[in-house]
Amino acid sequence: MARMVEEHPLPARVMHWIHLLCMGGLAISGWYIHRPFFGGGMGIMRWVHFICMYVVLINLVTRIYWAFLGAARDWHEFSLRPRDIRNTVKIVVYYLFIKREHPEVGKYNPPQKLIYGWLWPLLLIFQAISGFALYGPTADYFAWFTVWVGGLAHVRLIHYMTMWAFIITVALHVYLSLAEDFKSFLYMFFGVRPEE
Amino acid sequence: MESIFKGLSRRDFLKYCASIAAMLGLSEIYIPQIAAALEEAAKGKPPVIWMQGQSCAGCTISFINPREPTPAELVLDILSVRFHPNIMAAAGDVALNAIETTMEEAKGKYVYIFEGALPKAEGGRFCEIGETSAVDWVKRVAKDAHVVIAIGACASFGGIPAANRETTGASSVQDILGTPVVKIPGCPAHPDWVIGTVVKLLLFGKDAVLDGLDKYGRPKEFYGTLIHDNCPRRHWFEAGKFVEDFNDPEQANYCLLLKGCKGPFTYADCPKRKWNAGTNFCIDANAPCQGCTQPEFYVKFSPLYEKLPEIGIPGIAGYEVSADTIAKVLGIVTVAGIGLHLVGQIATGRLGKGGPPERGEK
Ligand code: HEM
Ligand code: HEM
Ligand code: SF4
Repeated sequence: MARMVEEHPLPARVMHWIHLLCMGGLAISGWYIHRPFFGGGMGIMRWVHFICMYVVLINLVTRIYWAFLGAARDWHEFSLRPRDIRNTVKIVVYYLFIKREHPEVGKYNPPQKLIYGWLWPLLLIFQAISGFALYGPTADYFAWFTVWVGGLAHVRLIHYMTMWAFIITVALHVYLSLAEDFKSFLYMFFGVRPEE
Repeated sequence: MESIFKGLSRRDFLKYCASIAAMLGLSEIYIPQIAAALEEAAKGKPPVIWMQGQSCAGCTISFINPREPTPAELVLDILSVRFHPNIMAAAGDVALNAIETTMEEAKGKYVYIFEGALPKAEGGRFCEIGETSAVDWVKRVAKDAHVVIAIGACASFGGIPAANRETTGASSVQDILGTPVVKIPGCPAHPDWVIGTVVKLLLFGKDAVLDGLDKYGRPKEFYGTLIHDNCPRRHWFEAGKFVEDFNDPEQANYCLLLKGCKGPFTYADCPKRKWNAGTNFCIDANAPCQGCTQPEFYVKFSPLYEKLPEIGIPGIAGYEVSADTIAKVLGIVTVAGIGLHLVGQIATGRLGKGGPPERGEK
């Protein structure tokens, strides 16, 4: 069992919680900014969005630092290797109910590595750039981005569509972690492993 | 006492100087200085060449918009407008020769105002003045001008003629010249913006005008504030009350965001300055701001009545869908996929029991 306890160490779980709360806050407040679904909340929703955006970025930086220099140094769990090509086939076959046995693929399977270690961090950085371009439309720091995509209306469009990229991938993530591996969910959330 | 300007009393003249000071955001102590400078300038009559490319002449009409006597008239008294397609009496060769003469006589001294976009496709043959293309005129006349001022959205950034520019190659003056020019965008440009800029040029000189431009080349006095931040409907925005149906009288004064208002992206002082001699402006007239002072106008801000631009579907030219439609389709596909997989999970008895083999025990 010793290895089990290390699987999602406390810092990782805390950061996952912060991440989840912020992303939830950003998506709800962002959606509200896009199309207010009740009256009178614009001030609060923008405030929530602006707080969460800083927290989530600090959290991202911390998680990356921790992955490379923290106690667990789990960056290699997310790095893609040649054998991941074979593993992708195996895991897809498993997810499509063609094989019953879950293949041995390491801590995270290749699609998970891709999403956790690459897609989400990059999307978040991208979202931050487009977000800050909206935040300081007169500032020059992100003006290059605004010019590049063809103006603020398109920055908004991109920011909005990226939210959907998050919503869809997070929906899959949440679904699979609940429907596929409930034990892992309990552990990630509460740090408990039900004994057999 | 008469002023040196025809039909204008000294008192009225000083009132106009005061309104010009206000226009430029200067304090009242500048009024005598403005009066002196205008009278001085009127003696020398700085020459102006005003030409039009692909334009609707709307900026000119806006400029000579009636208010008696108009500030525009005042400026026209001060300036010596040597060529203007709509307000000059001359025509044909006589008119065109006026350009040539001015270019020779006032080399390096004349102000060159250009209104309208410049079609550069097919050698510029989509817009010709005399027998020369507008593109060639601009290159030639701008060379010896003291200042080049692009008036209106089209001359500044391409505007409406540059929407789907494939056919005519409509370009801004700056695109053609390759050097920065003073831009007074708007569809049309507000007369105060034009007059204010010209007066500033007369008062403080070329460098002061150039130093006061924002990153898009617009004078900061007029384009320094966000419409959305000064909007009379802003409290409705904060309160989350939006016009969703133009026919519902109850919503008539709500915020126009969901009807495609571009106020949150648009820099101009319309809410304070207002149009038609201070009568009204788009949002107060219940029309969403269209963002006509921004480089994005027109094509990057269309559809005008939608909040976000639409997304082209690759491979199907001209077919565009809204972001919300794409989001809906993707959302439904995701939910359907998850639903199907869930059925599989239950059918195979794998629900919640999958996951990698317990490594700790192997
Ligand atoms: C990580 C850094 C982020 C920054 C700096 C940021 C910043 C911003 C800013 C400044 C706005 C404009 C608010 C306004 O003008 O009232 C905005 C809008 C929005 N944000 Fe973010 N944001 C970030 C992340 C996210 C994330 C992760 C999501 C979704 C999961 C999101 C979804 C949205 C949406 C949907 C809007 C409204 C866009 C529209 O009007 O259609 N944002 N964001
Ligand atoms: C109710 C919502 C969520 C649940 C139930 C959940 C569950 C889990 C679980 C069980 C894991 C363990 C890894 C695995 O076995 O696959 C995990 C990892 C992860 N989750 Fe979530 N998650 C949720 C929301 C989110 C959100 C919103 C994000 C960010 C967009 C996120 C990002 C991550 C990342 C990056 C990892 C891997 C990193 C690590 O090991 O520390 N999760 N999640
Ligand atoms: S009407 Fe337009 S500019 Fe005015 S508050 Fe609404 S979105 Fe902003």
